[in-house]
Amino acid sequence: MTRPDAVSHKSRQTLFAAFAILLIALLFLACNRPQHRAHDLVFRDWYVATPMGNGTMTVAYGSIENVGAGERHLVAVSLSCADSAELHETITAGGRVSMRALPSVIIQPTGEARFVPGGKHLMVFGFKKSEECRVKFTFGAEEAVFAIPVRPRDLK
Amino acid sequence: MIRIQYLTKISLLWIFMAACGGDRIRFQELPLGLSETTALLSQDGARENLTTALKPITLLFFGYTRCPDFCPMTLHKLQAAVGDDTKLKENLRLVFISVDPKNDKPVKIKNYLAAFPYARGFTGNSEELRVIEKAFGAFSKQEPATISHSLYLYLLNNQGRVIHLIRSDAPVAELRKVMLQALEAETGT
Repeated sequence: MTRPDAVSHKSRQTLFAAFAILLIALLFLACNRPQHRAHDLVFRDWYVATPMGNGTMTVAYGSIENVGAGERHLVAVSLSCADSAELHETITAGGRVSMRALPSVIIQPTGEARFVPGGKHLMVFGFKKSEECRVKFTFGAEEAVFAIPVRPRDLK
Repeated sequence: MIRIQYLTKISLLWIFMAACGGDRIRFQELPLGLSETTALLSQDGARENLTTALKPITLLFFGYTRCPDFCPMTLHKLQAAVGDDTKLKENLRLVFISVDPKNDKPVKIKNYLAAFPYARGFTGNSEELRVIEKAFGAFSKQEPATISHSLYLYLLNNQGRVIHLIRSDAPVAELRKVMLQALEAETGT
């Protein structure tokens, strides 16, 4: 026969485990919270990298997830803290680094476009010193506008 | 039974040594690098012999200040790899050679590298740059809105000769490993 204090100890353990799982889930959700959602698109981790020295050219990084059923075409981007911005990609091949402008970035259904150091990025021209910036992504007739921070690069 | 235990121990030791040995970088002098007379325009506006910039760990990188993604990424990765390690900070030199002399005047290069105290910037005219690129098997080409250039960080010995190549976009941990082993090989510490 099980002793009542053993039952109580077991239920306390179960309760503690459930609480820990809930806490981890909440932390995960908080960390993974998108910056913005619009038109079945989820925008995460966007920021403008602080320019080097007194430079006015810099980059912006982040990701866009397509949670809709149709493919999406990112055709233009602009930033309130810069003269202009373009879609670019850094290519490393044959011991060389080069960069090319992209006319658009296609995001497949359930797919994700990641803009990272050394890969696709938003090239920012004429950056004006600012702590925050409003970015506008244009997908055909639809637009997504939200504020993103200006901060140093994340590197691993 | 004792024999099996002995063999197991030997095998484990061999696996351990192989794993550690595999992590060691074999620095080897390549037919690339600075000559005794290689001089360029420094970030201070004077012509300087590049061999005077050498330190126990010298990494050389071709880039340009308008490069918005790859060059800052390389510089920041290197900074992250150095971290708070005083020994690395004191013994490291990054030689940054701008391949964009039209735009990159000494003051601009100095300003660009200001956050990296171990970095020293240089540039030259197109002929000088062609010569130094050739000496490193390197490359740069003016494109309509950008410049394509070599991908590598060149690790130099105390004569300015290349002893190892590492991709500039290598992980921070890899860059740190190369620097620590280079310091160990150069100073024995």
